[in-house]
Amino acid sequence: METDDDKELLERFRNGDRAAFTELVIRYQKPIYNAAFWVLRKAEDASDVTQTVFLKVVERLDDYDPQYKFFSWIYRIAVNESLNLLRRNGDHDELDDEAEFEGLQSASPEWRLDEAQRSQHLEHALMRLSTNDRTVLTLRHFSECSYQEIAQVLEIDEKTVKSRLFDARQRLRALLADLQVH
Amino acid sequence: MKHSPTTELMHAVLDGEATAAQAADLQQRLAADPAAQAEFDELQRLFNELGRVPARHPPEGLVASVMAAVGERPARSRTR
Repeated sequence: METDDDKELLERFRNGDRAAFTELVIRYQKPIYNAAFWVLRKAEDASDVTQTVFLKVVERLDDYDPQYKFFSWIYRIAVNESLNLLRRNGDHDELDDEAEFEGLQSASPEWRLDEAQRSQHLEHALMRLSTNDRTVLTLRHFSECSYQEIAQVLEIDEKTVKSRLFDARQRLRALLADLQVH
Repeated sequence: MKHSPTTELMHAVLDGEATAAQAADLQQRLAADPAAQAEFDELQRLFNELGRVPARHPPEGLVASVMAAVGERPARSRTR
């Protein structure tokens, strides 16, 4: 996910070029929204967090350490803001059913039924994982972060990243097996 | 959870984090162990299915909304 000119865009924004920041928002709105969605499981909350993330970037521009990738920094803000919102909301397990199966509606129509069912089961199972499991799986599988990048975003070591991924996948497989039985 | 070395290797290979030598080592282990091969196939299927989960689309107008909130707020001028 390395984007060489993120830092250049940030520098242009520091110098007053709003168009440069617009470009960063266009570039990162979808990955940030998706990361927030899978942590929060609610489309409206994901949208609110995405907006907050970009405002935090503006406010905290001086805190950004350019030795790290910009996206690692912005993802860290996104994950923290999402977790903060979950905490403020009491971190309950109620699901947004409308958002939960939104993905199926956008699946291509030629998908075979069994593939659609498997996909539905998978999303269902993902929604039922713990926040920690959803977060690490989101960063790896949907945001396509490396172990090192996940470690930077979550501020943990790579060994812990591997362990968390392994455990999250084990629990996901168990949930999937349970859904396919019932 | 307990991680066997072969299973750890499976995850590393599928995550694209293994070296060529580690990937070759896994191939040898799988060739000699049908149960490990079946586990690998199942894990690979899970990875493939995760890769096909459709991306969510942010609401239209999010960029405009963010930029309106940013307003004319100047970015900090300090440069590194």
